[in-house]
Amino acid sequence: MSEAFRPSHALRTVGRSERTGGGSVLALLGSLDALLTVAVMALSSFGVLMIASATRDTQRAAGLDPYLYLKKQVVFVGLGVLAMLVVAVVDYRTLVDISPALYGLSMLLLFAVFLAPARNGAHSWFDFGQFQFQPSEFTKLVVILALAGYGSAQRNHLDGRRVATLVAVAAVPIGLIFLEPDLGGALVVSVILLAMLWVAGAERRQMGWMFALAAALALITVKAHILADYQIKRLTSFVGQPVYNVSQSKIAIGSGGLTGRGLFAGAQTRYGYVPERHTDFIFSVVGEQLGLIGAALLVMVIGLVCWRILRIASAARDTAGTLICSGVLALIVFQVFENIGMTMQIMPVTGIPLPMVSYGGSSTIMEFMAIGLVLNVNRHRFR
Amino acid sequence: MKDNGRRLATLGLMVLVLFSALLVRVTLLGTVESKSLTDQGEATLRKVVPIAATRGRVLARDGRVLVDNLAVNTVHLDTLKLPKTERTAVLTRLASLLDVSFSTIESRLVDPRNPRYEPAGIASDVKESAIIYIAEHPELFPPGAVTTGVTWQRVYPFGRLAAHVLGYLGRVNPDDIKRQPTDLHYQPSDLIGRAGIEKSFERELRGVPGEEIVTLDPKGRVVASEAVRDPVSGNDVRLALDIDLQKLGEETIVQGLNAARKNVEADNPSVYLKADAGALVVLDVTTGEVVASVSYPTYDPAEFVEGLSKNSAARLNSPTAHAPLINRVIEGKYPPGSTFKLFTAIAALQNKLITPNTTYLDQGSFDVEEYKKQNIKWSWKNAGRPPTAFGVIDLRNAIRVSSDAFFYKLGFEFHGLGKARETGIQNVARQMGLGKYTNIRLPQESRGVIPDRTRQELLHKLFPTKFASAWPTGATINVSIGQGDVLVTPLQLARAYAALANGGTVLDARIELEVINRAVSDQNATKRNATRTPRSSPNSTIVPTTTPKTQSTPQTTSPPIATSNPATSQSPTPSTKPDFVSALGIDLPPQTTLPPVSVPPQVEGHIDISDADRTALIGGFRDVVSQRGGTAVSAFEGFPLAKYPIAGKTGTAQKAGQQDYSVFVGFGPVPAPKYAIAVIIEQGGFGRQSAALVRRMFEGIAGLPIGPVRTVTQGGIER
Repeated sequence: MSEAFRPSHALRTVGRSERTGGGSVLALLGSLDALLTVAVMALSSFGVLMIASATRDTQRAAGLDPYLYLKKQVVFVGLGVLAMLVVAVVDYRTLVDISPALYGLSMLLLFAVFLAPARNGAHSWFDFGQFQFQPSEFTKLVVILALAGYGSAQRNHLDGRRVATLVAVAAVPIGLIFLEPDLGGALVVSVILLAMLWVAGAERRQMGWMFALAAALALITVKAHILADYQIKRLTSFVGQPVYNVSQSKIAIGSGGLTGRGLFAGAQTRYGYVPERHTDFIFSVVGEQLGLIGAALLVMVIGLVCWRILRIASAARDTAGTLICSGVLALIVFQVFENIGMTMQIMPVTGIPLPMVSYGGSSTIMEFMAIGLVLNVNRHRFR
Repeated sequence: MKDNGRRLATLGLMVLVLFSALLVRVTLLGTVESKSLTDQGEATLRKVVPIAATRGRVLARDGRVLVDNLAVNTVHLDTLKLPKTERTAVLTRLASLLDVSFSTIESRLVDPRNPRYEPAGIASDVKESAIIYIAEHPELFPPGAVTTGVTWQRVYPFGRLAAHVLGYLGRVNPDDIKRQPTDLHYQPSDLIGRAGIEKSFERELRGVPGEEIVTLDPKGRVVASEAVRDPVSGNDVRLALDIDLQKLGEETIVQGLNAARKNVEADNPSVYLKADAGALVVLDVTTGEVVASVSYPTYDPAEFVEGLSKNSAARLNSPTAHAPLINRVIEGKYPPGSTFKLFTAIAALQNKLITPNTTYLDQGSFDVEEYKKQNIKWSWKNAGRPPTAFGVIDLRNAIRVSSDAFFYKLGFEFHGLGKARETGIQNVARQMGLGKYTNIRLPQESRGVIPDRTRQELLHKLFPTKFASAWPTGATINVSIGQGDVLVTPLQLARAYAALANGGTVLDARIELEVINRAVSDQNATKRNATRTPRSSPNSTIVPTTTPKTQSTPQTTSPPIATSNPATSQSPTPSTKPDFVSALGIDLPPQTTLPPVSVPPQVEGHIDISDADRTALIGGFRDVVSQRGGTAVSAFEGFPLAKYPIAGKTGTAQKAGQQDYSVFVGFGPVPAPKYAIAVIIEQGGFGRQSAALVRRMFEGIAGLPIGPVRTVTQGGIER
């Protein structure tokens, strides 16, 4: 274990208080990683504010409830915090043990979602009227648990067969999500797989093969016209002329300048020039309204979250814990980089939200559950 | 765990690299690229749009509104913002909602008058319910592509009345914009006066448009606006036209043409007269004001409001329509026929060729000895078959019976005076305003033609094959009775007779009485609405100064019509804010820079006629309508001439290849006439037919029972 990721005294202290605290809620709260918890709560609160700022005026102009999105997101965050605590309580090893069952259930849902009516041309949601449920979001967590379980079963060595099995475990949901179609979701699970394989100890040669396979698959998808033209256009738009969304998003971020136009101000996002500004393009709202300073602070707070997850990963009591944290880290980092990168035209356009900031029920709750898993690993690192 | 920590560290490093990349990128966007991205955003976000100034109204003499503005709903369509797949569907919906045909919308979309890259106007005067329906159904009418608005449209409360004087508006074209001063801020979608008062008073009526910066949402809806410059309303123009007299004139022309069409050609009784067009003008002989001005056929100015449709354009330009857009009162050039004898008579008296008592033996024709010797068979005859011989007549009788022979001889005598003095007739005609502009402020005025030797030689120089250089005796003889190349407008004719009627003063014809400064009147309305002064008081909103056009220098130093020159009097319009206004902190509306106008009678020239000569002339003109053998007696049969004495002259003008033109000019009440009226009926036969129209006008003016225009067949032969 490297010097850099040795558990700190602060962590030990938090862990100790958990041990003495018994089963009460206060004790549970006390047992969580303070910095990570605070950072996550700050991010989601900030997200609620930005969502309100992004939607208030257009909602009002359309004669709708100006704070509809704010209210809904508050509910999502509340449910997310609850889910996070629930996930944090049950020992992660138990979760890993039942992961085959969860995996089976999750695959069933992924099949079932094809029977649900399409929304925006994709079979990604179950529609319950007021709320929609996106099974692919929870599949991401289930895949993390399943990969952690299988990847930690043999500690020291991953032979080719094991790597292949791990790949196969991830490949099924990747394929199903890809077919919805939800290219972004498929990419997220792929990156989770790669990160967890790497931490689980796959050979560099094996990783090389993995990348080669990924590249080949990507080439085939494009050449065989499996992707629709719009998908290719969006994917390749980070070089050359930006698509409308990205162009408007860049204008928004650029016109924010150093200090921004102010909260609830800024014409680009306020009048709706940036489409999907409360979901996938929330970063452009931050950029325009709070400027470079606000945007950079946001990136740094997310960086803080990543740092805490890394520390917990390295302090985990077993490989399964480390793998879970690595999976969650990959989940968050890839989504953040892809999402923010997309709004600034350094990444292709895919429908990936900004974790804990973007509007969305399934994704918000899933992200809180993912953080719950990390907190879980932290709580149980001495037992 | 095999090198677990190192693998995590690698992962951490990657996270660091990726987050750094994000930070670098966001820093670049927020600093280096910020300016250009902001500009890029502003370009689509904000737009400078003009705020149209309310166009001034056109008022009649009594202040009643002839041309007004009406706020109407408009629907515009921007096809660039309409997905190709939806185009047909949206157009079909618009067609049914707005009750216009699909093809009409298509043609308006490609109308070259529309500025490119701007939404095309596809309907105006749209019902409120349709506007609401569009607003409530964005899914049917994409708000970015289909926009609604309010605009001002010209309305004509009196319909077609005085259409030729009022004129119409049309979309400006790039040439107009280039020609107009830039401070008038013409936009490609603006309207500009194309005819009539709308054209000649464009500057006064238009006002100055304002400007505002609007913020648009991505669907093209205005979410915020900020005025940069307020618009200045255009000024109202009050015309000299009397609505009742104008109405009477328009009615009379229609009746008169119908009556004339019941007549047959003099030489060919089996052919009816065409009488397909005409003009009538009523002039105030003391001021030069045009009180009524009628040109027929006419048109409906409302047809131009939304742009002339193809059908209307074809109809108005068709040869069978007889050019309804022409204002014949000022644009029509007609041979005056015997009405021209006035000028020959004055010239002969002035040059002492005759006195009022000189007699002449009219044998029905006039022969020129030199032509006889040369065996040239030209001869000048009176009208009638055989030509009527009037016997021994003096000037007064020659006018009454319209003896051609009498005036032929005068023409012949003028020719014999030699090159220096042979143009005596032409000189008098020009002095009395023929062959030059009447200076009426209406576009397209014709100057007419008064031919003489100089003109003939010039024509020969320009077109040697088409025109001979010689000015023979016969040419002056022809001029003496208003034939040859003599051409006059009805307005010129009325104006010349008005000069005789008012004692010799040739006045500019005036169509406008004043320009009313709206900015000042608005201010007055708010400042002292309780004690609003009547319009005619010197302290009112009327802003008299001189006309902006170049004044012709008066040729006389004694204007007989007493008017104070308002140009030199105190102007009630302050050019700058008066001190008391600033002191009170009253915010004056922006002052218009438009030159306000109120035109006093402008004296163009003067003609000297001795009292004895004038008595003889006017006696002759009175006899025309009242005495036995007078050429228009039949037209005035039953008119109470004793109560309301009228004088006048008929003209039956020949025009090559056409039926004779009927002309009459009358004035009254003698001895102190107030009005001069000229009527011309194209291919209307004898002048007495037009006299019947003038009679009806005077019936209206004199407050007599107004009868129908009769077909005048009986009575003496005349020319």
